[in-house]
Amino acid sequence: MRKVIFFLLVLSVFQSYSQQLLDENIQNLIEVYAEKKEINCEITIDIEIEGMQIPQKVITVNFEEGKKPKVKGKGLALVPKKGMINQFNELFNTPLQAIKMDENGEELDYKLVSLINSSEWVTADIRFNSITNQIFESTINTRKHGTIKAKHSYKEYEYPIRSILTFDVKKFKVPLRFIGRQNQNIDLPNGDDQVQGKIVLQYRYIDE
Amino acid sequence: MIRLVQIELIKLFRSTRTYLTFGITLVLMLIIDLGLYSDGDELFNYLLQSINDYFYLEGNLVNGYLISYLALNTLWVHIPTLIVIVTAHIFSSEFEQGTIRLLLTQSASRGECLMAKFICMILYVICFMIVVALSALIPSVMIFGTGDVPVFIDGIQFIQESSFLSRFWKTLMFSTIAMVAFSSLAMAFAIWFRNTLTAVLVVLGLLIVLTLLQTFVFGIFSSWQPFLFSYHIAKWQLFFMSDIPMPSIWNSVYYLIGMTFICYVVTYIKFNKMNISE
Amino acid sequence: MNILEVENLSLAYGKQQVLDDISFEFKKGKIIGLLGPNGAGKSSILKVLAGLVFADSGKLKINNQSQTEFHKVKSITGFHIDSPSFYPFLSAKENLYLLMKMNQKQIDIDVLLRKVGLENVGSKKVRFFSTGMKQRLAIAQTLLRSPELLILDEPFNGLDPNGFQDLIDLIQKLNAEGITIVVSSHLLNELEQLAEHFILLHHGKIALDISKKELQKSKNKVEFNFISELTEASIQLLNDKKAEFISENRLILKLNPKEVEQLVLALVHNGNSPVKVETLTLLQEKYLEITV
Repeated sequence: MRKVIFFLLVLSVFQSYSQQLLDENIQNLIEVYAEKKEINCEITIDIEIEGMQIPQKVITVNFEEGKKPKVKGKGLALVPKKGMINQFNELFNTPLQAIKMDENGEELDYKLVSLINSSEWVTADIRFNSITNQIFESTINTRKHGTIKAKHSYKEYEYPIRSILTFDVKKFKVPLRFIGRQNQNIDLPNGDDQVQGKIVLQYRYIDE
Repeated sequence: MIRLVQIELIKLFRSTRTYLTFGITLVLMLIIDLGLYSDGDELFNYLLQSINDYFYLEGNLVNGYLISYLALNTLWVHIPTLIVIVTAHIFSSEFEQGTIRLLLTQSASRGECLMAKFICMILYVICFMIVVALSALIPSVMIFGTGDVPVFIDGIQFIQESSFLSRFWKTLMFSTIAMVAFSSLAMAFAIWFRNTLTAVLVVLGLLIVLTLLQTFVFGIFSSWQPFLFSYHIAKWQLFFMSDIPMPSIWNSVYYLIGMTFICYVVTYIKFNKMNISE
Repeated sequence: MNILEVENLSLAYGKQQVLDDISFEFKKGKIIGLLGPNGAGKSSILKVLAGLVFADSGKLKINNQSQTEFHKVKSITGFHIDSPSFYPFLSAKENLYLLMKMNQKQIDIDVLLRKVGLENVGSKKVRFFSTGMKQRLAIAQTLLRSPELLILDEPFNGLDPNGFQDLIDLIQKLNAEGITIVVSSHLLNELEQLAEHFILLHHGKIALDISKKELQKSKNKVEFNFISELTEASIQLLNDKKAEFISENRLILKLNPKEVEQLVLALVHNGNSPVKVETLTLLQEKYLEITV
């Protein structure tokens, strides 16, 4: 019994120790992104997914930590659940372990591992500039929504002005025959039918 | 000719049947509005559930424009049925009532009488489609407002609010041409059978059977499709694609106008040579 | 002068010959009776003239001018063919108004309705009209174009005795205004009262074409009935006249109306007064022949 208690004690100490051992680069990122509680911005969304045609939309979004984004805009807008700028806040507000994978001058590659089961993401590969703390690329593996890859472009602000998200999504199909067309095959939704989706987001920050 | 058309219009708009079809259309649209008011959100969330896995859908989903678009689906069966009940009757009622003898013993020739009825039929169809358009659009927009419209063609397409009205009116114009063509077919059968009910049954039967054949895509029928009027009547859906394929639509317009012309010529020849011995 | 002349008119429905190479004429200003049992071809003739049915062959003259198509008859004629049919959801006035508009004529509809005795029911919907009222309305619509010729097919059908007499009076009144009227009917006695010329049809052929004057001059079959026994003088007289004895007290002779009068006087003088003298005109005789 004493041995078990001792083991658990050592494990918890090791966990907290390892967090305290997050290197300076990650600490800087945490400082920049975890601290930001609220962001207001205007986003232009272009969605390219097979089986879906949606015109470009411009919306105003209020991101608040821990809450669903508040969206204002004309007509219908499809707002991606993952991959938006609030992802950064989500990443760095989660207890994590960071492993340095590569270094290329100022450009660093890290693998982040979530240390809690309740987080929506499991692992994240990030590439960022250690001086500017701007994350250029990320590949986030989520529990429910698969893998989301993102490429970010920046101006001067620490948040991106343009992001390109790519992810696998089930092909959207409806088993309805369009009678006005010739030579159509009936296309039933298939569970294994995956296509690549691409979303381009352009940001304009309101409280910059 | 104008006075003959006026006479036909007087007869048409003094008939209870005409107002019944307008009334039924209004009731139909009301039912669609009420149904969607009650269950619209649930229905569309079900249809769009695969989108909900990856996106938040923000905005007014169940809006007046969406309901108007859904109301257009009455163009498959309901609207053709209501239209041909009246348009076939314009021609065969004279035989059924016995007034054909009265009509043809006046100074107007058979050709003039037929042309007047044909023009009256076209005017009725135009009137009817305007009633359909206004009854689909006005109440639903007043109750539900406007917004973008998700359309299930080739997957899902989101039609912007700003372009909806022009698409809607173009659909109505195209459908008017389609319904005139369909009514011309009913006219031909009405003169042939000299009976409204038979003509209506034959023409609706054709529409239903041909639409079903196209739905099931039997291999032997797939090459016949462009020759079937049901194939062309259904082309109104193309106005709700992101990029409207106008060449395909124009092909169908020419087909439908041609069909109207052929039906008229066949009816003209038959009517002019017909012995009215009853 | 003839308002209408038709020559060599033939019509067949499939294998059934309905009109078989017939020729006839309608004299201007007269009332012509077109007679025959059902199926004789009366309505078929009228339908050909109305342009409702297309003849297989035939020639036409209207007011002595040759025409190529039978429907040209419409230009001078008001037609009432078969049972009267109107738009039931419209009133009498509205029906007449529509027809008037169709013919591009301006006529006082109230005056027209008064003429046919329908002035009190002009606003009533036709679906509530009796058969007699519809017949009158049918006559009214034939007058909308101020025609030279009226063709009426079975106009007495469905009329009560009052209605019948009213129609006879109306027809005579219209004829007095100069309109030529053709009345087709299977009712022999009624037509005999009215018409001045008779065309009798049987199986698509003309069985008799005769004017009233000629009828009056012709010898008719007269049946004499006696109660008392015939005297010898009466028997002698009747034999001289070539009487046909059906029984002792019943006989038939062919006499014109004047001869009937003379014979009755002679018989009375001989002591025999006939209790019944029944005349069967030539028209009635022929009609009975073809209908039996």
